[in-house]
Amino acid sequence: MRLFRFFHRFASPREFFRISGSMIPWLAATTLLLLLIGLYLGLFVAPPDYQQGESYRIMFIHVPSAWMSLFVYMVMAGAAAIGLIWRIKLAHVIAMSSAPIGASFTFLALVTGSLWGKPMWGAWWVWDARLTSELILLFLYLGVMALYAAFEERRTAQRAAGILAIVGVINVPIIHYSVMWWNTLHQGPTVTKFDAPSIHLSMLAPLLIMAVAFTVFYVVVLLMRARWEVLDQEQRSNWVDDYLEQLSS
Amino acid sequence: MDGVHNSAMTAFTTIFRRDVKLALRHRSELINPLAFFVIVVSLFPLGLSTDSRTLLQVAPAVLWISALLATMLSLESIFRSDYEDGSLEQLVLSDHPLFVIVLGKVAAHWCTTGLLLTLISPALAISLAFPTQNLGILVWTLLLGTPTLSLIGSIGVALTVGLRRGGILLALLILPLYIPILIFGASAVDMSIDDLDVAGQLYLLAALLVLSFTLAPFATAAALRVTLE
Amino acid sequence: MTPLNTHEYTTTEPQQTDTAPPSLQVDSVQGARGDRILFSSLSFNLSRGQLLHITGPNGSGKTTLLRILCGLLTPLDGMVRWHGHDIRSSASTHRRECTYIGHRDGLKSELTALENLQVNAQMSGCHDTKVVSDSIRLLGLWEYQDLLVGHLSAGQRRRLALGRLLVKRAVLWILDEPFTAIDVDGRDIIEAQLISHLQKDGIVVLTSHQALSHPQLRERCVTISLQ
Repeated sequence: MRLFRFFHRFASPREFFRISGSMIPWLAATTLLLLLIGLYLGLFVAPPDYQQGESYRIMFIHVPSAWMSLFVYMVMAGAAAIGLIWRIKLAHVIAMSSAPIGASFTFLALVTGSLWGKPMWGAWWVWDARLTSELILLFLYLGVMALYAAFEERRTAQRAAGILAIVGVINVPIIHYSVMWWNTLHQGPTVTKFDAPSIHLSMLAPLLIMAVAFTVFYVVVLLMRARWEVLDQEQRSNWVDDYLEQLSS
Repeated sequence: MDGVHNSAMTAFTTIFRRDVKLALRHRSELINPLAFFVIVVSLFPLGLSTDSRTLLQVAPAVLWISALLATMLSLESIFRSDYEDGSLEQLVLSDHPLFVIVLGKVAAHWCTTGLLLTLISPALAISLAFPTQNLGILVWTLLLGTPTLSLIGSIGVALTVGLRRGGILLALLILPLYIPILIFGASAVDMSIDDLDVAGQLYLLAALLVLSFTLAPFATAAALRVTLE
Repeated sequence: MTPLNTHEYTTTEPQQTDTAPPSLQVDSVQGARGDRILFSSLSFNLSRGQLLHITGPNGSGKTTLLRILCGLLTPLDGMVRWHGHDIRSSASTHRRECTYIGHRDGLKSELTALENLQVNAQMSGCHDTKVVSDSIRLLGLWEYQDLLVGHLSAGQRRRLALGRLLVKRAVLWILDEPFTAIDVDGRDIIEAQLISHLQKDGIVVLTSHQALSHPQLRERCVTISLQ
């Protein structure tokens, strides 16, 4: 019940702006701490891979980015659905603020995947199933962002792009499995090093810490983006005037 | 209950017949996608080679991608002119469920583009040295795949219909969603040339058709309500 | 932004509203285009047999208000009720009982006048060909019924668009500038239809830059002017 009341209050733009403002410094500090620990463990403590040597260490960036690229898409589509069904303005703001962040994670996963692939495959790009899925995911993100940018009316833009995000989320598994199937058809069983079947704890720990760090980082950036979006959206409200006055004095 | 069912059916047939009639009176819009299909396919021998083995190797992909692009270029006709002359807001305000109207319009679109593309595809396939005994599979994949292209495409058009220049944006929105259909369609045609069993792909294409048939009209209807605001 | 006080009831209330509850209730509605608020806290009620004439300069939000009333547009704030129910939750009843003629005619220029009206009639559940042909005759388009709409004049197209009102038996008529491009004869025909609709306890909401000429319309008319 208290939780419900908290969310109810949180969903009002003004309260969101206030509460998120006080949360950001703490979350940002957490991100920094986790990133430092994760990177230290990953880059210095974890042993080199017996096959790939040191180059596998890019995994500690690549794998969490790839996870986040999917996770953010789910959040975006979920928030868009909440916004469309219950007409909650803040949910639309969360959805649309997530899109560029998710696209950045996807892009990061693609770049690190390509860097990782160079020593492994001897080429910057091969049509590996996972990389290809990730590329298509980037297209899906770009579609949502482009549609959002195309409308002049914010309300229409949010809802139209939200519908596209939901259509996309239904298609993500279909695209993923069709690409997997296509890949086995054309390349035969390629050795994919992206999913190590058994991973040593000394590698797993930094990986998980990095994943948590990326998630908290996402929340921080999301809140920062959403705050300015809310401020812009509510620019006619009195509390925004008060806030801006306070800021300038 | 029967009455409701009946009136929805009437709405479907009314819209279907209206749109087919409009397409028939607008010959150029009917012929343009077909002409596009023919021209794009015939560019490949010109740009690649006239060697029949090379052509046969790329034929499944060429036929499928050209059909997909031809469909995509024709999608705007589903809603664009209705949007511009105000008919679309009348359809949205009609007392029939909007998804039924959407289905009628998509069905008419498929009959006047996808179906015709499928019918002329054997002639184009033969020009790419495609073996005649495998033409059946090509036609089947297109028959199962092109309605899905129209259904998914209708979501994209509904989302971009209010924008002045929606063309490129539409491609960006829907081409990623077309990828599974392309994969299954083209690979079925490709494998049939090697006399492999392609029943799996045909089932998958049929499954995608059923899925998009049940979901896409609702997404399109929701999109229309949003973009007409 | 200044809040608008837009109720200016310029004429007397019609006679028969003493007991019947209002059919259309507009409750502190706010309308906007983009970031610009056009009107807010707009409230009024309409009962059967009443005509609402919305006036105001260009860009004052007349079309926005009409689109809110017919359910195409969701108001930023406030609610529109039809027979006591929010038109968003009981949308199908409201749509069945409402006809909206926007400033675009909603006609296909590749179809003939008759075909256009037939499609409209079938979509509103009217399958009686006599109703359609009677309507065409009434609108003064009998000789033109087999002409493609693309070949009709703007005034003829406007008449044909208004033919929607005759083939669909709706209670609530929402008309955006119905007299645009229409000649004196056409105006008389339409005003006569408005009068008979009001006499049959219908409701009309319209925008028009010209004042209503017919005394019978004026006595049932309520005016709201948007600033």
